Amino acid sequence: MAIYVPGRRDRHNRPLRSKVRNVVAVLSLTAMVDMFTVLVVFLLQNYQTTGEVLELSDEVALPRAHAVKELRPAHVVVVKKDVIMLDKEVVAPFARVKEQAQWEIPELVNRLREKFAEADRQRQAIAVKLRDAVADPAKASASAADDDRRITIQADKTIDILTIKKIMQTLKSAGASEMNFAVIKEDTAS
Amino acid sequence: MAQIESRGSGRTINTELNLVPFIDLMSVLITFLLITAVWSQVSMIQLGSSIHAQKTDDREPPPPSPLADIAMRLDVKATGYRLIVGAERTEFAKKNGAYDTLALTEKLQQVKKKYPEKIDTVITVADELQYESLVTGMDVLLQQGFAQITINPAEAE
Repeated sequence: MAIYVPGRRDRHNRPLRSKVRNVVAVLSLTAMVDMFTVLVVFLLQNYQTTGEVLELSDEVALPRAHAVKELRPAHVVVVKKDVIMLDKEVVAPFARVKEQAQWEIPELVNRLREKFAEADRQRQAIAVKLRDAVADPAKASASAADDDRRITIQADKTIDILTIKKIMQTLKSAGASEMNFAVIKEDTAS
Repeated sequence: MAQIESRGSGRTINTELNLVPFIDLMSVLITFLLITAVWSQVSMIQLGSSIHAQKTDDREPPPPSPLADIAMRLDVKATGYRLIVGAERTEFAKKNGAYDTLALTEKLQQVKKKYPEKIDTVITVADELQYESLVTGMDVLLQQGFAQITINPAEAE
């Protein structure tokens, strides 16, 4: 496309010379529009519809893995180097759990059972309201129960396996339906 | 401003594209996307069938996977990996202080070729090791199509 100097022109398309010099500054927006388009495409590609399911902490360095799945909403057990937390509430000090001989962590079991019971009560209350709307109430209820009892373990990668095993054993005892490990997704190429 | 100048039969038509609404839209879109962007790629690896523990509810256990009778176990030890498939035991010693995941991957590919329907496996990890070792071991198994991983809390002998 031809680019012409802006300003008035004669019938032969030549710029008119006048005594008063007109200065018209035109911003070239093409580069900016190009950049905006590329930026929007990049951001839309990385857009996550599920939002942030986990709250990352600087104190927890997650391990890396390739074969990963998308995080789903769940109760989160955070294992830091000083404390063990359930849904942002401190449950037990890490040092004591590490030293204890028994595999079950009583505070974590009790807290989880309370949460599961509360979730069951809420689900039943909703199920009563929506009974007519659900085609297969029994199946829907079992599936929802599994969703409520899903646990994500967010542990520092340097934590010893024995403590992780104790936590997993505790979760199983409390009635967790599914356990997942939070990891940082690593690209296959790297 | 972007403009298109065309000369037809002696008459010049100067058409200017109004880019202002486009730039407005882009600015709003970019601001929204930047605010809602999640930069860290946090994901999860899923335990296929949880850990060996006592049964806690009345629900029926899931049906066994195909070829479940062929025992397969990956032991993650301080000295390296050990893969047990049926009666065959293969050791993968550490190389330069790191686990030999490449050799393990090759062996798992052979196993998968031999038993394509097999998806279940057991993993054991020594108590003194770090949590990262468990995740790495599970990751290698998952990448080769062994999706039903059971963690055995007991240590391998």
